[in-house]
Amino acid sequence: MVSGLKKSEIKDFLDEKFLIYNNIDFIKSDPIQIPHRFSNKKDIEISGFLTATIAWGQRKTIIKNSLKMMELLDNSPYDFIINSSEKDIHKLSIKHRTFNEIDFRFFLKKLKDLYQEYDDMEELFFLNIKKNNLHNSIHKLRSFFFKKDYPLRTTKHISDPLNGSACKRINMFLRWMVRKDNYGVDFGVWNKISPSILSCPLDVHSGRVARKLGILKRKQNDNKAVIELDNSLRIFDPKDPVKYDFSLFGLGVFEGF
Amino acid sequence: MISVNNISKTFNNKMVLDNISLDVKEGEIISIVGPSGAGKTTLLNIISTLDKPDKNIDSKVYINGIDVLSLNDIKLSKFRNTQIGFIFQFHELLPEFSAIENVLIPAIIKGVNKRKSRAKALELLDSLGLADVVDQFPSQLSGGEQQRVAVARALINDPKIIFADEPSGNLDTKSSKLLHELFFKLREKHKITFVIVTHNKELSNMTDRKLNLIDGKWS
Repeated sequence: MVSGLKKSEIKDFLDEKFLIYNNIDFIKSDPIQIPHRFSNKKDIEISGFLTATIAWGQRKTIIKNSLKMMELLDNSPYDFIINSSEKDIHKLSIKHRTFNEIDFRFFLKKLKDLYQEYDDMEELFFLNIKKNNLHNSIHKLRSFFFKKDYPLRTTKHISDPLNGSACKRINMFLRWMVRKDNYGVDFGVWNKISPSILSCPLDVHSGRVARKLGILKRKQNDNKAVIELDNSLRIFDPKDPVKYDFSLFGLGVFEGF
Repeated sequence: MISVNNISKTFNNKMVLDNISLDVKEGEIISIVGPSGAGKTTLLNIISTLDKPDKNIDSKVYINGIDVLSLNDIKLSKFRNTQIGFIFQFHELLPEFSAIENVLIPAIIKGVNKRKSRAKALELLDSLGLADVVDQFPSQLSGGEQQRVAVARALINDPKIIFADEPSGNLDTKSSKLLHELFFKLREKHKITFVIVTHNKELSNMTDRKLNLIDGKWS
């Protein structure tokens, strides 16, 4: 380990921090509160996916604009998407930084296509698992969205791990859907996919903490760094490695570690 | 309580601190003054374990008898959470959390029972004249109120030492005076040691000792 810390010492430290930060007290300002407004699996995955898609910038604005998207979908996202006509969708307008009405409308159309082809979003991800991660599944989701007749500008809103992206937001969404515990933060509504193959949502803060602890050496926050970090975290907990996202996040945000 | 020996710090080949030593007794309130760029904040950051000095076998920082330069990042993190309180000019309250939640965060991190911590946080906020604003968010508080919330947050884990960097730098005269008086009351009540970096002459003149730092050396 680069930091000179023992692996067991790092694991104990991260376990301790996981118990502190996997707590609803710490997520009151987190975008995950949007899917927590719903109880139906498909509503949770749609609201989670759309919220995660715009989860960059100020948290307050992310939450405000996510709530606005839900309002536009009559606070019944699945029902709206399935039953809406192209004309209905065309009336909707949203702007969150570079995510605008063109992107939003296209996302809704593709989600409608997705629910016509698959049982739910989980099925698309599940059927495309390769190796021991969800990188190919994310790539397939992206391919599904951008198969033909798509606005070029919208492609930037779904990253592709196979092109080297860390895919922070979609990995965060996958953590929300797949991780299951009794702490009330993550949903665990996707039961076919094992939490053991999740990837850690890597950003500048979690990357900094991971490097300081010596569990990540690569300097860039890209897909190679995600794989390296996943390998470290899977040694600490092979069944649930991404639980340590809470530890890395809390140490960075609340402790200035 | 604090013993600092032969500390130097170099940034980009420029020596910011030049072989500084310092001893602070328990319950003492000292101020570090000097012109901007003299190295005051760098020194405070090193004494308070937020930064490390240049590597030198003779450099030592002892807090409460603990050689803090020998601690690794994990042990340092625990040490900071349990032994030290920080007050900064820009109080760094979390905007999405209410006054009482901001005060409670260090206690939650320390793992103290939530009900007990809440009672203590309420008591602290009350003693600082903030009983009416416990559930308000930082943006709803005045600068003086925000800074007192930051003081309550610094006190929640019963630190033996508080490090303060320009604690009244962002406050009007009246709020500054109240804050300065508060430090002395806290010393009387809890025997807390204070190391304060300040440009405020009124505050530095009140402290037990005023140390003048110029170009990285005591003058």
